[in-house]
Amino acid sequence: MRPLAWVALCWLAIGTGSALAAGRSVSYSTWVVSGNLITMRLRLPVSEARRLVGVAVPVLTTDRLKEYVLDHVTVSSAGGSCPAIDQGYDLGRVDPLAVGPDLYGFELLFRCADPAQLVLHDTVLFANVPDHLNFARIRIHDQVIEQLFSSGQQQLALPDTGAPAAAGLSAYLRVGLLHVLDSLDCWCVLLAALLLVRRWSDVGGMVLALAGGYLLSLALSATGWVLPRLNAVEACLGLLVALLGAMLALRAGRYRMVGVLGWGGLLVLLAILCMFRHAPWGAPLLLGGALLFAGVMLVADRTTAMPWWVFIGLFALLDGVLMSAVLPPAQLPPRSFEEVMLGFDGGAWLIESLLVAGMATALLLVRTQRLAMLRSLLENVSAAALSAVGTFWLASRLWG
Amino acid sequence: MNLRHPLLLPVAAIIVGLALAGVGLFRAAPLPLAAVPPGYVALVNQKGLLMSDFIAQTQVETSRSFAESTPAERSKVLREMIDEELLVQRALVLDLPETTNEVRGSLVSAVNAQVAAPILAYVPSDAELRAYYEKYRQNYTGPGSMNLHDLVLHIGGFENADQSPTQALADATEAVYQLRSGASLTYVMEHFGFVNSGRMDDTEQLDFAVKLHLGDKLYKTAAQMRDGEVSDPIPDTDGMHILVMVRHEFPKVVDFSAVRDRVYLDFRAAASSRVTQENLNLLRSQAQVLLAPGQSE
Repeated sequence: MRPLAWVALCWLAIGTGSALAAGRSVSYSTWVVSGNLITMRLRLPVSEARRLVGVAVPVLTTDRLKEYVLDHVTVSSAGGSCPAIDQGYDLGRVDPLAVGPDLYGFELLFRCADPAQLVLHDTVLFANVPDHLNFARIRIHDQVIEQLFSSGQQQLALPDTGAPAAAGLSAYLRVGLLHVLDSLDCWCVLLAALLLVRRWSDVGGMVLALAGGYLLSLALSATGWVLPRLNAVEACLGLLVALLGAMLALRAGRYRMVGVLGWGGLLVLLAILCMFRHAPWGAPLLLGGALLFAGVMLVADRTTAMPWWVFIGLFALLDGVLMSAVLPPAQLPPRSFEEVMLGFDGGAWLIESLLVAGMATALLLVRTQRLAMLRSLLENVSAAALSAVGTFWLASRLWG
Repeated sequence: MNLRHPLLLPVAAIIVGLALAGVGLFRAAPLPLAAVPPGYVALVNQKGLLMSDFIAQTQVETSRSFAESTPAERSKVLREMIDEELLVQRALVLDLPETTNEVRGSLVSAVNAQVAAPILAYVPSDAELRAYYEKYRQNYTGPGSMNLHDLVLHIGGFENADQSPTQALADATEAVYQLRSGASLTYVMEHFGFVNSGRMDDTEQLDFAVKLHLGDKLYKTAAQMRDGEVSDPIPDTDGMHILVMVRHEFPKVVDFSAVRDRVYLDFRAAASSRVTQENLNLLRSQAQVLLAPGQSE
């Protein structure tokens, strides 16, 4: 019983710790280098600025944020630190800009005594949100390149001639890869996927489902016809985890109809609640989830196969669109936008596929009696835990 | 197509489920406004200026109907409106409502005016005004007036260096006794050394003027005195005073018809104040207010 209690405690800690942690943390900056003058414009989503309240900023006002930005964006050169200059009127050294709804905008001008060996420093938010990303566009010597500031790269040295290398596909692949490793939602889905694997063909199906989902997210992002509702996507990730847990629990076939009716009823009830509370978009999402779950379980009931890959594909689609949803304020040119998305989705797909394929292969190869018993125990505990954690995430993200 | 296929229903459920979930998950991407939509005269940073506002502003500035205004006049008005919108947007970016007292005051006034607007649009009947008048009739009095003498017995001057406050009080008490017994003012002044304080000029004056001239301490006594009455001695900074009231016209409640306009204004002010307070109560009930340790409101 003691190991089971520890497993349950771990799940509880995981579930409550990331109730609202599925979204991407990004900001956007533009740097224009003109001789010894560097103009920097920062766009910070209001939701990201709120993360600073109580930590780096006592109360969220433009003045407080100006002070914070002034402290966390600097430029240095061979001549030493380049001070932010006073912009005249009553603006001071940081000029607040109108950059659209839900965004704070600031402009700073740095003047360097010696424009050689310029280094741009950006530490905004990294201390508070380690996986924060700043999409930077840098114009220097009549060339424009895209770069990334992250907790691992908080400064960028500029060459004295020409432009620095752009971030490139590899940087975005790395972002996608690290994102999967940092995301508890991903780990939960991958765990469920791993436990659902029974045959070699399942591994291939899973990799294909992930690829299909990410490709679909690329296609959706490229058209630009629709935008995801971030709250809904985060809630849906919780729903997927819960439904994958339920599928694991009901896979054996016993009490399958009871489970389908129970889950369907619960989701319909939550949909009704959504209609009366402040999340009306949740109603179609939950009803859709109920139908999807019922459909998958009915297919499993009438055939020998359980089409769980639908859920895996949907997860990949949602994971992909979460990044595309936060990119528009970066105002990237279409080619750069596609590069970012391709890198991110590719990185995520690659690591997820490798993890699932590697671990599933190991499980399928080592089929001992002892391992089978352990797997059965792990399946039962995980099924219950995934259902509980997923339901908690769903509810907290719907009404959090 | 075989409608009895066992997988038809579950597959349909999956497809419909995915479609429904998609409705909840996605929304149509907003198209950037490249053209001014109907009903608007211009877009400034994607914020619309209403055509109705433009027409009204043109009429105000030209004092003519919109149709009669010239294209040059309209252009001028539109330019002013765009400038104003740009400045308002800039003010919001600079967070002026958070940092500038004048802007905060204007915002408070605007909110209060908006809250009170429906109440102020209501025209009260005479019966309601009369009921209000009856309830607060003490507020509708005409100004009183008085004519009085203010005598003072100076203490401590070079000409009366031997006069102590105790002795002055004894003299003043005797003087009051004699005045109340019918002695003339001139006799008492000569006999005891009282002089006119100079604060009153022996003419009839309105209450507020008397208060201004006598000061709060003496006025408080004078306000209670009736015609011909002599006050007790009143010590003040310059000596011992005695007030002799010649004539006192007390304030009287004015008839409703004479103060109807004032009642109307007070009625509206009270209603406005009431809804403003109710609005504040509502806002407070919805707000989270934290006070620093040791602070109270």
